Amino acid sequence: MQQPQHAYILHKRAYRETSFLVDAFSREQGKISFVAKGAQRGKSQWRSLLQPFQALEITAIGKASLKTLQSCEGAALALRLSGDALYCGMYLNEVLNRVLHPELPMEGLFDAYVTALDALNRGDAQQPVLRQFELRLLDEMGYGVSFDVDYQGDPLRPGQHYRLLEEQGFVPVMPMRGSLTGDVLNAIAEGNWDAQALSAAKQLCRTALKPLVGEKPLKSRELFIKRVTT
Amino acid sequence: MKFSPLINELITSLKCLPGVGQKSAQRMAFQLLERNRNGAMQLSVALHNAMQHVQHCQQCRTFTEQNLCDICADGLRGESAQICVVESPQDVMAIEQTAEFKGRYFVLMGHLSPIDGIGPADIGLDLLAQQLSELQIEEVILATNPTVEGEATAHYIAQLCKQHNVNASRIAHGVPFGGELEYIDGNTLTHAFAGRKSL
Repeated sequence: MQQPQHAYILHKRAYRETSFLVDAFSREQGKISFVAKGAQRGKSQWRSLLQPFQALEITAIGKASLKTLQSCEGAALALRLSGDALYCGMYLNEVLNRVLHPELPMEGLFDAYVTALDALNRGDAQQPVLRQFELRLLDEMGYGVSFDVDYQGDPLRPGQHYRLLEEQGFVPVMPMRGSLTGDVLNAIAEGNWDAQALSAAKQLCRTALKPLVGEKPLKSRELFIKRVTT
Repeated sequence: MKFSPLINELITSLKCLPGVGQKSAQRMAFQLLERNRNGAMQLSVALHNAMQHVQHCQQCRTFTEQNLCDICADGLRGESAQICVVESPQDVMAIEQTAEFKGRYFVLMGHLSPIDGIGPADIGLDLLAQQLSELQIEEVILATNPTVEGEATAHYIAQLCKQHNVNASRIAHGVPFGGELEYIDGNTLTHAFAGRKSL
């Protein structure tokens, strides 16, 4: 008998007349895919449970990569994200759906995801939540960047300008376009999110995430862009 | 054993129907050839006509063979100041059957779902924004489904409405009529409580 796993739904699409094909992020197994048979029927209890941002306890059986959902219970009430917090949540899901490898457990990342969702649900400022999650994600995927020392292991000096070199770390440079000062990087390292640190972290994460999420642009970003331009 | 080319083509074509695989397609093909040639001819004509002529209504995006659908072409309703935004033409039918709503519709043909690559432009929201700014619209009723994607869509449109100073309202969701609280799932009940109204 299999133990129930903690999981969140990342993505769901209709399958046949009455079923769903679901991609979920489970704490124990990483990204898993399963068929939820009959979940599209009007009377199915699974219908309301198989929604994003709902903490679930599921058992999915089968040896192949596509499993069959056997049981599914809500571990807590669904988070009721609304507005921008909801878009942020969708962004997290889209990123996770791109970067996770099937059936590779990522417990640290799962916990970071839960922390981020809780923070969004509480109404915390959204930018820092997203940046912290992204930095954690990079760390967990082995693309981590250390924000307190340069490529030789020396502490970052506040007045010095730095550039991030792939797979090496921060290299001291002359001030130029795209270079960042040591104090901004230190602020990111300490989680001291002022406006400068936020915009620097956003650029850094975006660049660092690129090899992970691929060339196709993330659609959730469009949800935000619209309002800034109009 | 192999079927003749024409039969093969028919079977392959039938497989484009939802839920029809190789076996069902074969069964359908032989049923039509053997027992129902008239029906099949009719089907092929109907399919051809529909695919050739059915398009999106220029105002509300539902399916129609005219430029404007019946509701939009109706003098009173087509220029109504109330728009009801729904996800699919089936939703229009469901609301029409209640005969409760006298305005016109806007059919998104889907919902915002970034993970599937569906953004605002893919569900015709630029057209809706254009109508909000150019036409006299007083209220937008958001009747998207009570799913996470439906909520996101509703919220996005509500923001559009705000930019254009148009009222937006969301249909209520909660306990179904004739239902019993005991059997209702927690999420629906929470929604029902959050959306309670004073009497």
